[in-house]
Amino acid sequence: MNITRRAFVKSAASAAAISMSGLVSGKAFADSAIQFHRAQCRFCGTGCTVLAGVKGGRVVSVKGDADSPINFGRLCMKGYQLAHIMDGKDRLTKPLVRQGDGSFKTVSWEQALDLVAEKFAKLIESEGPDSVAWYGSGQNTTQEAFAANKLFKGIIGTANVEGNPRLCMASAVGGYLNTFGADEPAGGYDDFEKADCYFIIGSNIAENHPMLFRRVIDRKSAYPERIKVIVADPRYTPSARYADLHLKFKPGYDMHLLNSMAQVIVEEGMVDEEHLGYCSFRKGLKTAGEFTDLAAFKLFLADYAPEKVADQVGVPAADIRKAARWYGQQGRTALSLWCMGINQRTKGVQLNCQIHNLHLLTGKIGKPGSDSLSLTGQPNACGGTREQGGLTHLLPGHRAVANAKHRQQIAGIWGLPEDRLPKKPTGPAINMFMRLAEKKIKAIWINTTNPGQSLPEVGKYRKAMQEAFTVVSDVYPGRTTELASVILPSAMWVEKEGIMGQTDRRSQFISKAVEPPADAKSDFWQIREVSSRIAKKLGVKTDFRVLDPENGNVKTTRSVYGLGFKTEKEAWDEYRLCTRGTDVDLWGATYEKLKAHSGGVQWPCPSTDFKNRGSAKRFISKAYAEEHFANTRTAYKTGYVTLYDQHMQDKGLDGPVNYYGAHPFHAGSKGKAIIRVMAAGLSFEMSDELYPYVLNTGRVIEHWHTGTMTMRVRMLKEMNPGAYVELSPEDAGKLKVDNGDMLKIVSRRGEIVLPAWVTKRAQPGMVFVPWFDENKLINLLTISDPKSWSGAGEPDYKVCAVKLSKA
Amino acid sequence: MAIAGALVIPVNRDDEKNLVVKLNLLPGVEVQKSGLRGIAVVLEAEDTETIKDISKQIEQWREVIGFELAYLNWEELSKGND
Repeated sequence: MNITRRAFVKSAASAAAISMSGLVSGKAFADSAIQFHRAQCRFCGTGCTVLAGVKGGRVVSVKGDADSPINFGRLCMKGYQLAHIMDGKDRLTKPLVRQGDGSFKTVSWEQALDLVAEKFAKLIESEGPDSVAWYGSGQNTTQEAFAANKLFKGIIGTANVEGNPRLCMASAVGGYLNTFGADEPAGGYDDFEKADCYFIIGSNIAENHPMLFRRVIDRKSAYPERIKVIVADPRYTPSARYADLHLKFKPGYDMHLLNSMAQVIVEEGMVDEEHLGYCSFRKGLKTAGEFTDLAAFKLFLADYAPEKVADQVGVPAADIRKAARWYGQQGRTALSLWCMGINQRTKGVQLNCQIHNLHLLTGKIGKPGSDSLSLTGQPNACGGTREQGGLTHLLPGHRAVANAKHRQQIAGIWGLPEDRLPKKPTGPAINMFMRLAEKKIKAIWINTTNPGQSLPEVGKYRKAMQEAFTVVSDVYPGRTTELASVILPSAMWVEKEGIMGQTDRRSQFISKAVEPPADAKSDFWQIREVSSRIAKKLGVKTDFRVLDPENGNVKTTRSVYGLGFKTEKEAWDEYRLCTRGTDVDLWGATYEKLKAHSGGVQWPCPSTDFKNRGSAKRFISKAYAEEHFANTRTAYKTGYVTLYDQHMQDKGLDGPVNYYGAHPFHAGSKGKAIIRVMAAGLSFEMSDELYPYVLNTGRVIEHWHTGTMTMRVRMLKEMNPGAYVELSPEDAGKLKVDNGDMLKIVSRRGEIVLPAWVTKRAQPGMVFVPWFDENKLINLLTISDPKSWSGAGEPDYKVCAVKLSKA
Repeated sequence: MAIAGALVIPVNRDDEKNLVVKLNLLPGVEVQKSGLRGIAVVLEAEDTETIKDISKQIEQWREVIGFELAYLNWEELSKGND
């Protein structure tokens, strides 16, 4: 058949568009020479399952996996471009060491690794273990994060282990711990197909979790009258445009809004009295406040009646009532979804608790279609950081550094003396960079993240990174590599093997499909090599236990300098053992299972039975599961799932709903969930006379995070080449600014000039700037003051005061 | 010459038929397939700037909730049968 080039390109465009919808045409991937390897998308926290098509040693195509219970074969604009993220012309392929004149010199891996190990070991010996640090990522695989944790907390003995999930998910963790005494949600993605009301707050899900939003659209399209979508957001985003009701609150006034919704629920009798038997009420966060009751809570809420707070919140009272009714009406299910708009806030933990409050009051949790589901921002923030323990206060398996029993358990599995492990946390991420600036930390290894662009008030910390001995493992040059002493070129995505864990307690396997370019190496290999060198210099040996895969018993032990495990699989098996018997039980998530099942496994998954894919719900009894989830296999399209949390029976707890309550924040709760009674508060820096606008920062559909990968994909760069500032038509009129005019934005910390986009997305008094553009560092303006952090140490990227003028 | 493939996601399923008609009326836009999960279109224009303009225009329609680009090619292509 004679086909013109133009016709061929059009046919390729058509096939791509059709397959994006999940309806793969027969012709689209007909090339039998292409071998498809299952993986997980590299971008957001949804964890879409993808098939990477390899031909001639290169990834030549990507398609959604039709078997996936997450994305059902569909992909978004970014996911579709995964094949191109590895092909940037400026890919880092050789280790580089900074010279005295500031230039970088190519060195061998031996030279680079020896230099890193020598510098770190010397500092550890001369100034103590807390003079060095690790700053990792929610994009590390779990094995990489586990290896780094073992190196720093085990072999070196410092709690200076932090990661960028502190900047994105810490408040969500605080919310779950304060409410349920255990991190991560009760339900998951299966609830999308059973929800009657979607309450989306602080999340532009349409652009930032597009495949989950498609599930909302599917459900709404099937039942347009019954299903209600509520979006609470200060911006008129595409998500808000789709909503049945947009609660366009004033930036910073969402605590008032959530208390107001609770007031309507209580006042209008939408409380589930039976479910309240499984809840208690407590004033404030953690354990400082006293326990109280529903009557007192009702009195407290009286000040938040919609008619009293409507003007302050900026939402009509009737809309607040309507939202509360759509959400709270008995007999209907409700699914709450939120992300950075809630977490990256001074009051982030309180806001998370308030969302949980609504579910607990109405009993809309632990049931099909009802859940309080925090969306994660990164593909392995849950697996590698929250579950694995990649923050200063954590140890693997939801354990705590400060808990002697936990230290003993992990030291035993790691094959290290217990006293090598740090006994208390040091400080959260920004505190770590503050100590770097104060030269208390003198060497830092930054891996798979770009703090030179992403930290708040970044100017301060860029200088600190430049002055310290900074090792950066990355795939492309960027705003952090330019500050490095040593740059280690990393393998990425399907150039390496690994496991990642997402939003709904899910872990998935990424298989290695191609070789990394030139001398780039996996981060796991890098950490392993540095570990053995540092361990040798420090004289620390690890008793690595080779396990029987069937029962976890120790088969043999080998004493080695370094991590002990040699492969990603061995590391995963050791990690599985760390989780065994904990609430995040992944003992049953064997390599064989993870490789075989699209969509992976959801913990708790204690059973190694090949068909058992873990728990779609937790905090429920066996009897309740059998009664209410009997038809789940068909209805939820997830294949075989275990819906009964086996730990509940083991612990002798009964249902229908109960909670772990093991965390210290949850002390005194007697196994019940806690409804937190909290007065509404505001962000650290609200607008004022001098700085009359609120600056909000965030992501866009075309790019991901700092744009390191997506700005190398020509199509995505063409579609959105640079940062801009969203400005309301009302404010544009006041400032006499048109589309494309340059606007100067000044905060108390810095200034920037950006082209204006006059749009009704922004509300008067606020502006929005995306942060993907490495040439326009909006984080020069944001706040890092500890008083601005949430109770979980997460800075506020969503509300800071700025002034504007035409440039 | 630039050619793109994209998925247009309607706000309501009821809008789909009208949206298909409206899309086909746009110069350079061809609807390839439509269904529950969206409308697959091919866009053809002089350059990528024009593709961007068209996509922005579509995205702003009240019936559209999402416009997701799946493919973009901007190599030198003749419109003729070369």
